[in-house]
Amino acid sequence: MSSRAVRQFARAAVATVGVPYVDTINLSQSTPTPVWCTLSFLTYGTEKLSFCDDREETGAISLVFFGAPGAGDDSILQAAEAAAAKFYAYVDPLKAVTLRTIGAPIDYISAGDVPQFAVQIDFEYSHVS
Amino acid sequence: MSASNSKNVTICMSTSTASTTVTPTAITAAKPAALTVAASTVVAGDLVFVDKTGIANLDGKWWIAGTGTTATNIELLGSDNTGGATSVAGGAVFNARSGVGSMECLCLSSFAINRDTPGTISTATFCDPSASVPSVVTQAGTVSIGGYVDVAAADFKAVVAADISGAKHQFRVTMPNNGYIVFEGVVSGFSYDIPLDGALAWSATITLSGAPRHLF
Repeated sequence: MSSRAVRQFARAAVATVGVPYVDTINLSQSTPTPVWCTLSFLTYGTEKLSFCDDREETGAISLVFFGAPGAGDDSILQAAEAAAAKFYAYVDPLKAVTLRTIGAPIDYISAGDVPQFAVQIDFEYSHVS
Repeated sequence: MSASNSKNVTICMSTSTASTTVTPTAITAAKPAALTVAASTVVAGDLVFVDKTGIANLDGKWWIAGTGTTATNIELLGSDNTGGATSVAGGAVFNARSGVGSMECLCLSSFAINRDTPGTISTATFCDPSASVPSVVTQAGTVSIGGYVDVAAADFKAVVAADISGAKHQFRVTMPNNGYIVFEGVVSGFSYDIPLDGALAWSATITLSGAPRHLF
């Protein structure tokens, strides 16, 4: 779970990546034709920065891309890496959230009848409040 | 004795040399002492400099106006004039640093007082190779401070200006339920820390003019 400011930042950033985004957090959604993407959030912790009670929340935003099964990995990776670069370049207009690092793509292949092929790219963030 | 958390500690620095001058007419022989004045704008928590009152243990020092301060009384937190004189010498003067307009509270990430130990001068002889005498040159020490670079913040700009000016500034550390630490010094050695991945930070050193005093 990340703070609301981080989620708002991520949702604004993902709107710029050029891949259809579907919010899947606590929502029942019908998904579009691949490739599409969604977001998930993980908080590492919060640290006090100053005697004025400034705080820094750190964590990871995961951008997960879903591609068609049986279509290999190249086309989804191409789309994911291009979209991730745009996501990473997004600057918070409020200057409160900063993406510190961009991770390498992690691909998931489920056993058995695979409905979709997913690639995840993680971004470590810092949120100062 | 129990420990107190540093939450809500505030550290403020004077940013103006403008002062309010008032002349006391009397002092209470009490702990804390209170100076009687015709009228003043000093309020509780203000820094006040007491001089030329003729009360040796009050003169030449910065004090904090206590909660008993009124328009005609300035209570000197931490002072003790028990059994002392109740009249003050003519020409006594106060310079006040109030919280409005003349103090800037600093959002520091680190604060540490480093007191210097008195130096010694070796007077070694073949008969007594370890002989030494105390040095007459003594230094009060330094205060190390640090924070984060923010050119839009008034406190960052105030510290930078203090480093450039080289002028003396007064500092007040307010510790909830534990009184105040008051000291005077010169900000110098301003430097930057730019990590590969992390916050842009700065650090500086305050060279103390005298020993910090804990008033409560």
